Amino acid sequence: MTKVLVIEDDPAILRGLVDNLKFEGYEVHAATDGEAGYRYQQMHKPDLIVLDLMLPRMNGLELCKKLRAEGLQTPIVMLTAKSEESDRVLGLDLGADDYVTKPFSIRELVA
Amino acid sequence: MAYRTRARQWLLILIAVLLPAGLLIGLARRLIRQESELARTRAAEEHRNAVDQLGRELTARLEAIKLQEINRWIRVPAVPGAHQPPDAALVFVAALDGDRMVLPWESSGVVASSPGFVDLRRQGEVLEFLEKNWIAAVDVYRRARDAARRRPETCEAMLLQGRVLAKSGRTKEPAVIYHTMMKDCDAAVDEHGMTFSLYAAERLIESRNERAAYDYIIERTNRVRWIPLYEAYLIRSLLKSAGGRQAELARDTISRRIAEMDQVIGLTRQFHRVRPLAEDAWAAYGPEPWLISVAPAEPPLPSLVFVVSSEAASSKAVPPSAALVAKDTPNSEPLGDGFHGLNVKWPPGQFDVRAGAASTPLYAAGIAFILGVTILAAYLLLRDVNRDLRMAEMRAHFVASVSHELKTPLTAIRMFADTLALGRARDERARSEYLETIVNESERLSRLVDNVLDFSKIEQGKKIYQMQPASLADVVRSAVRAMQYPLAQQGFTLNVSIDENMRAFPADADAMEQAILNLLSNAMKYSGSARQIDLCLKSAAGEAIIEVTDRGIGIDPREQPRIFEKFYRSGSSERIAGTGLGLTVVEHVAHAHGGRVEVRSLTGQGSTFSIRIPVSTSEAPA
Repeated sequence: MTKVLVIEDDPAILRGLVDNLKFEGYEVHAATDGEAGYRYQQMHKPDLIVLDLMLPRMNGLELCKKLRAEGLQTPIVMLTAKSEESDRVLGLDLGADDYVTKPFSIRELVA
Repeated sequence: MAYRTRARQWLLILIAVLLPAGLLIGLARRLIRQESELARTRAAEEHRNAVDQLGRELTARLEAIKLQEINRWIRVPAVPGAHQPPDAALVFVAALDGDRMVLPWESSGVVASSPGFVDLRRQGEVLEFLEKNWIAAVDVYRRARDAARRRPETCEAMLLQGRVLAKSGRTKEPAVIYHTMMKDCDAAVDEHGMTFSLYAAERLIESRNERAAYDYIIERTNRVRWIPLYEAYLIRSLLKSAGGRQAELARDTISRRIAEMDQVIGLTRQFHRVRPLAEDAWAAYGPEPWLISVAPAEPPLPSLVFVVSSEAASSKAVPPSAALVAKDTPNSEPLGDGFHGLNVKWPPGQFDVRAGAASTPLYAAGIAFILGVTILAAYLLLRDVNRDLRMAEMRAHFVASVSHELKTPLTAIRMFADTLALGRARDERARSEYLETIVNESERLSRLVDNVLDFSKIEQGKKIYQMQPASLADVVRSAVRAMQYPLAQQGFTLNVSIDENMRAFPADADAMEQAILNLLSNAMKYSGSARQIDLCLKSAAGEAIIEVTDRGIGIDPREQPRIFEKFYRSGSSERIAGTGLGLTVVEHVAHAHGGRVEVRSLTGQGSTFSIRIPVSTSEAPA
């Protein structure tokens, strides 16, 4: 089963993401801050990471950069309220594979 | 952005401070240079004028003396009173005999003694010196005195008589004779120009050390302007043994007279050299120069030589510390046309360039003041610009934060609405939870919008508080209810303590609830890994106190004064979502109720925020 790691600090959004991804048939792991997310990634080796940009302890961009620096090839989907072009470019430059802007629809996310 | 801002600030400093400062300094230096130049020119002109004026005044004075003396000479030539020059500056006027100066005090030649007197004097000397017959000698000298036809002969005979009487052992008679001589022989001089009275005084001093003799010498020294050199030396020698202040002064006087006489003798010897110069100008002679001028005349009048003391003549024209000196004196300068060999020596610093130096500190102080003002203005400008820049950055951050804060509940609402619409809810319980989440997220959204709207009204001064009697206990309970869901969702335990006896008082219940919600919301955000929050309503010292305490990350003491500023977010909150408005609204609400907000916080140990509202004790209990 495809393993997905969701790293999101807002409990409501995290709950919605986890439920919907499980509904799609993924094995879902959740973390609420950057450092916890990094530990989960090391532990569970997910096939996909859904990563919020604004996180406590270590933010999404830093985590993404760190994972890519360690040679991790796992696809990363950035998830953020920020929609500025510069944020998107920065995220993609740091190694994100895609970018989903809040508020997003379930169809957009699972597509 | 920061680099551009910094560069802009430096440009601003350059334009506002460095350029004007540089221009000012340049301008001031130029002014100082011009001032110094002007001062130098002025000092040089002043110097030139002083020399010219001194020359003019001295010439006028000397010519006046000369004219006065020529008139005197024409009226009464060879007047005996010429021994006492009427002008104090005039040393003497001498007639010229060929190239020789005939000094006014010189005797007109030795007059031959009368034959009878000469004979008797010789006889007396034979008796006195060869035969040692002093009694006979006394008699012969007495006869010589009787035979004398002129005063010098009489005085000489008296002197001889006194001498031989003293040799014969008499003491009283010689003293009487010498006393008489001091009175009667003052104007009688011998062939050397020495007065006989001085010989008498000398003998009185040698034999009896008589005070009267000293007094006579002192009086004569002060009275007679020109004392022949031999006489002057004798007086100086005799005064050595005299005591008293008068004698001391007389010794000084005689020393001056001797010096003057030496100078006269020197002038007499050098006159052939001085004369050509003195014929067309005033020629200086001597170390304390005399000014010599020759006025040629047609016979029978003799040409005259005027000798004037430069010091006395210039006493009014020369400043006290300046002096007229001989031309070779160091640090002196020629007095100019009309004088040969005469220099003036000014006191050091008389014509120093002072104006420039004096105004330099003034300019420096002026520049320092203007620079100070410019720097202050630049500092204030930079501070304002920095504040504006900071405010602009905070506003930009605020917009992004609000956007994020709005989108987060919106995302949740949309996601759960989508989930429900797509029939993805596993069961009824999940569906119910999703709906509850939508409601709670909507409330969260409302609170956020309320905060932003309240802030907007506060900013515009349009925020109106509806003050009605309200129970703070109810307000606190309502806030707790509103926060139950998010608290529970994030696993927080909220310890609530309410003083139920608190009286109702006029307050805006909605605003107070908003303030409590903001404090609770902040407590959750900044709790870190801690999951316990205390909410307490109590009263103390006439105040209602609402306290919210977390055990989270705390606030750096340096940042505490700024946390109520609008848009301000502490450094430790960078990774925590927020708008920077919550505490601004809390403080405004507290102030609107006549109260205040206090914060106690330790980094790493949590924070306690207290809203303290003064409560009137006359209000009825709730």
